[in-house]
Amino acid sequence: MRRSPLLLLLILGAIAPNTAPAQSSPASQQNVRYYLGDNPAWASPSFDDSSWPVAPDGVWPLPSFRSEGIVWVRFRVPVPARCTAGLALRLVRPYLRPVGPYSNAASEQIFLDGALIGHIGKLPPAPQAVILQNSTVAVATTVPPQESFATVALRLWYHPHVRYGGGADSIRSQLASAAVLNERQRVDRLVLILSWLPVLSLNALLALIGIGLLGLWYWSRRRELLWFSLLLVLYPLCELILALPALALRPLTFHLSAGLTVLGDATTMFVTVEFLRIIFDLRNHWLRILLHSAWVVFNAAELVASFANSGSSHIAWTMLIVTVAVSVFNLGTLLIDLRFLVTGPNRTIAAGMAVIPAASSLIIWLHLDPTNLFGIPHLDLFDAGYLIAGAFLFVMLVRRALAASRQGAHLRMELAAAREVQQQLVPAMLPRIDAFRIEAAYLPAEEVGGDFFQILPQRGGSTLLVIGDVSGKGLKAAMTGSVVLGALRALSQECLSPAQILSRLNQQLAASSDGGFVTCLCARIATDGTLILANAGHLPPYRNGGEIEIDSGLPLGLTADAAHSECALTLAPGDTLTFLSDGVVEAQNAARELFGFERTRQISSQSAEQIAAAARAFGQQDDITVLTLSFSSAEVLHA
Amino acid sequence: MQAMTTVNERRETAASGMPVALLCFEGDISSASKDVMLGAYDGIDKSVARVLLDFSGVGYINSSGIAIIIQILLEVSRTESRTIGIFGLSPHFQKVFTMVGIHKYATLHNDEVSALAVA
Repeated sequence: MRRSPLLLLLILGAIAPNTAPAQSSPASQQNVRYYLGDNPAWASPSFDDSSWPVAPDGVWPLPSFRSEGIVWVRFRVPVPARCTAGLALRLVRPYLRPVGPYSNAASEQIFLDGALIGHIGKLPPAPQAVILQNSTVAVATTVPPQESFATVALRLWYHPHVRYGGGADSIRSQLASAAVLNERQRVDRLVLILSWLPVLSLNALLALIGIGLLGLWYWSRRRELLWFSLLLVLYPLCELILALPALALRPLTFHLSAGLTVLGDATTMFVTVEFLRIIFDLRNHWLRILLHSAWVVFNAAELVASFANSGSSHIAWTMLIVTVAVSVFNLGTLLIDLRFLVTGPNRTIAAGMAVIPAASSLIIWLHLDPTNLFGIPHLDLFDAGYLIAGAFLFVMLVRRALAASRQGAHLRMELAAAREVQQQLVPAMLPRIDAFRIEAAYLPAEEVGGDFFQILPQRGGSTLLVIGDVSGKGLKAAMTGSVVLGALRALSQECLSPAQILSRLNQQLAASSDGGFVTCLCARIATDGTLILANAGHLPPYRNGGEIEIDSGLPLGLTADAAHSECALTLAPGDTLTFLSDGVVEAQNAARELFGFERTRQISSQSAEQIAAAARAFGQQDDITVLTLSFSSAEVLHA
Repeated sequence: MQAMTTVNERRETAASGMPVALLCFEGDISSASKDVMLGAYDGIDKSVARVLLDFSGVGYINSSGIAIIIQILLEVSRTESRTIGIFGLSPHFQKVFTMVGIHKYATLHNDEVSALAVA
């Protein structure tokens, strides 16, 4: 990067001797005089300007903000010896700093020996400023050969926006063959364009990175990437707008240049606020309104000031508003960055973002505005801050996106594993038991839950039925359910009563408890219809559409000393038992109304499929498990 | 979408003249409520012998939220002599609280007046 300016100088060195045999005269050798005011007679070569102030080193001050904005500048240029026709006057502006539309917004009339030989832009009474560049003006008249010097008079009008900040201007000139000067103008323009190449290349790289990030956003759908990629694309566009006067074939009007600049600034500032909102999860509504208001006011005032042609008091106020609004914006964004730099989260992002408003504030408040930073032409402090912050944030955001992607992959793997475990929590096939007709419906929720049930035929012909629900979601809940079922299968071999089974399960779970619990209903049903129930915080079952009143103990896993009682009843042939998980009663509709116990009771005598479908249609939030057992004594079935 | 849990503490005097601390919950009760709920309970002056948990501002309590409530009640039953009362539950959650055995560790009441009358 640092070699680019050297390369440019080498190119210049190679071109300049062939194309510019005559050098422009330095202002200091031309005895430049100036006068703030306006009088057409001052164009005359016979006018005595000896009372005018001399411009030290050819530099004259800009007219004051509240003046008409016109200054006359007079100096003499040597006439080339054997060339009095086909001449041109070349004006070079050493102060030319095409860093923005507001540095060179002016218009001028050029007089040579009293004759108007050209004009750039329009002067009062209907002024129209352009972005002044180096120029070459053909001299239509013939300069008398006996004269060794010609008098040049410039009538300059500076736009109020330029005059507001004060400052100075200067010019170098040369009267020579039009062919030579036109060639020099062409080379000069080429050099100017080349001088923009390094900084525009850096910005093009930034824009390419931004476009790449758009692709990454499309893939990851992380909104921070969208806004940041827009920032990376927008800033180079703003830089291109600044370079336009140098790249354009004709001088750009100030209004066009200022309008494009305001458009670029407004868009970039809007995107900056939204990026900060997304990346720092800003919830402060008023802060967002303040920042958005600041950029709107700043750009609106800038536009108003750009379209004014006189330095009136209301334009002075407008310029003050410009300064205040941009300061509010810079200070606001800087404070947000510093706040998150100190308190987190996203400290590194905050550090990167803080560079941009800090650089801008340094330029505005301390007038630290070195151009050609790091030896790169047109690179100022703000550009450098933006490039450094852009590169840094790019690395940080890509790392975050990749980490999120890895985490997403991990979560997808965990979900797949949880689904696999979940499938083991309910039997794939219902056992065939002579005395019962069994139906089951199991509707897993989108998020993996921990519903489980088992129907285990026992020695002696009885059947053990267990239904339960693990609190929580995901792989952990599914794994806990799997542990319960493993323990249950082992306990079912020991001929324990339902209450004893729950107590043993509870002790095992309480020993490894991490704050969750398991609700569980355990039932043993004999072939003669004898039913023994024990409940650990689960929904009581329904018998022929009515809830069975059963004393409930604490859910499993909360405390090792929980006690669980039993109740017994006898089923009659044709009785139907319905067991449910809380996914039925806690189904919720869009108005957050629960399906509830009463609706559940009303449909509890329907088939398992119908009950589950009704709960899902109401608004499934959790796993839905429904199990129905219709009792027909073995004798009846065998009859 | 779950609403964040908030807790406000206030003091009342029971019908018996005993000072009572009320923890008034608002929002939804879930696993995310643990720190708020435990923090609020731990913040109650140790001299208060009766605590009432007001759930009238609560929209929904999921299974993890119920686990937190049971944990608080179990801890109180093991280590403290104070009693806990609960009111403001919808009929649905009154049944759920009964179902999971909470009524064995805390008295359930329909409203604040009846809860203070018992204290």
